[in-house]
Amino acid sequence: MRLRLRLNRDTEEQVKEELKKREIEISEDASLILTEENYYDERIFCKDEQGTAIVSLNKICHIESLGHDVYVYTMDKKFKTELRIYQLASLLPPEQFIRISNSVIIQRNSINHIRPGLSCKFFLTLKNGAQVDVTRTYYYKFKEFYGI
Amino acid sequence: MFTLLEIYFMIAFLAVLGLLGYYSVYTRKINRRIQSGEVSGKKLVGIPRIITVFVIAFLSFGCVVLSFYLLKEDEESSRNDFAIINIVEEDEDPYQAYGGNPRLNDPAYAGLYSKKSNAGYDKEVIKDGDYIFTIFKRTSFPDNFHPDFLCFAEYMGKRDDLYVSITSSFVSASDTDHHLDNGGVSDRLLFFGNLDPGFDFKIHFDLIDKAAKESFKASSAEVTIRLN
Repeated sequence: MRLRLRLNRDTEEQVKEELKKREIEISEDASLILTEENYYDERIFCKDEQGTAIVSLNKICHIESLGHDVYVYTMDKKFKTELRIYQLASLLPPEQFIRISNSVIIQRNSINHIRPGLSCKFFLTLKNGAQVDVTRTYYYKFKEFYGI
Repeated sequence: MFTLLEIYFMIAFLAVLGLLGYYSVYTRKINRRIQSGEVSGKKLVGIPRIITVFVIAFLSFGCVVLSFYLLKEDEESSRNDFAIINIVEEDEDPYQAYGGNPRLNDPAYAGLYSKKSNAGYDKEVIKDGDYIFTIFKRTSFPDNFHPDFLCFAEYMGKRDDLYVSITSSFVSASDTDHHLDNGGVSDRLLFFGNLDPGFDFKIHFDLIDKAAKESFKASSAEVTIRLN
């Protein structure tokens, strides 16, 4: 039997050993997938000028949808992804990423400066220089997330 | 002393100053907290909530200031006022004069009070010259509907060819306010009005004989009304 694993790092080794003992082969080509609850991939597949690119979640600064296109921004690069913003919101680990408006998701540690608005808004300057807003809908979730 | 508008401007200025101060502190703190990655600890009150609190506080304080202001204005305004009504029944257009509050300018008052007795008033009768004064002084707590005093002034003399000069005065230790009225002699007049504490109401009649060759002043009469 061949299995493809989708496990978080802390449980991956333990499960691999168990499967080896039971003589179950682990392969990325396997059609059967063993997925852990709350599993989040540490990378996403995007496109750049050269073709397909794998972007590590740690490198992502923010994700923004502009019209029908969704762009993934790192500190110095910009990638395009086929995924919609709501799909990305469910694929990304919630302790590391937060949606701040209908069109923007930011990485937790990507904020360089924050300025509160007089209404329920925040204006953010990110570490990659981008300026994004926390809208009224996401205001309290954002405050809760950062404990501010 | 400051006007109400000045007080409002001062409160608004202080509120805006306080808000700007809090905005600056809040911005600094949330930036520090986000940079440190610290999620625990007491959450800060957001700007919209602070604005709401400031607006409510401003309005509440404004209401309190307005209440005190109106109360003070009410205390400072004088209650001294009076009216004179000729209550000769057959007179269709009763002679009337008033000093102070125009709402007393109403002959209907004469029909509400009797010369014999009035509930809530002490009666006193004084005779001076050709006049008899029947005075009623309020014994109940002052209100806006019943005058503090009533005084029926009746001319008991025989002459109807005289002219009368009436001086109605509010007199206190430091202030005197005279009102003069002239006319033909009337049999019966009703004086009524209100008095500030420390004031007396003085009624003085001078009867003038314009036809006299030596002395124009035929007689005079005076009464002073003092509330207990």
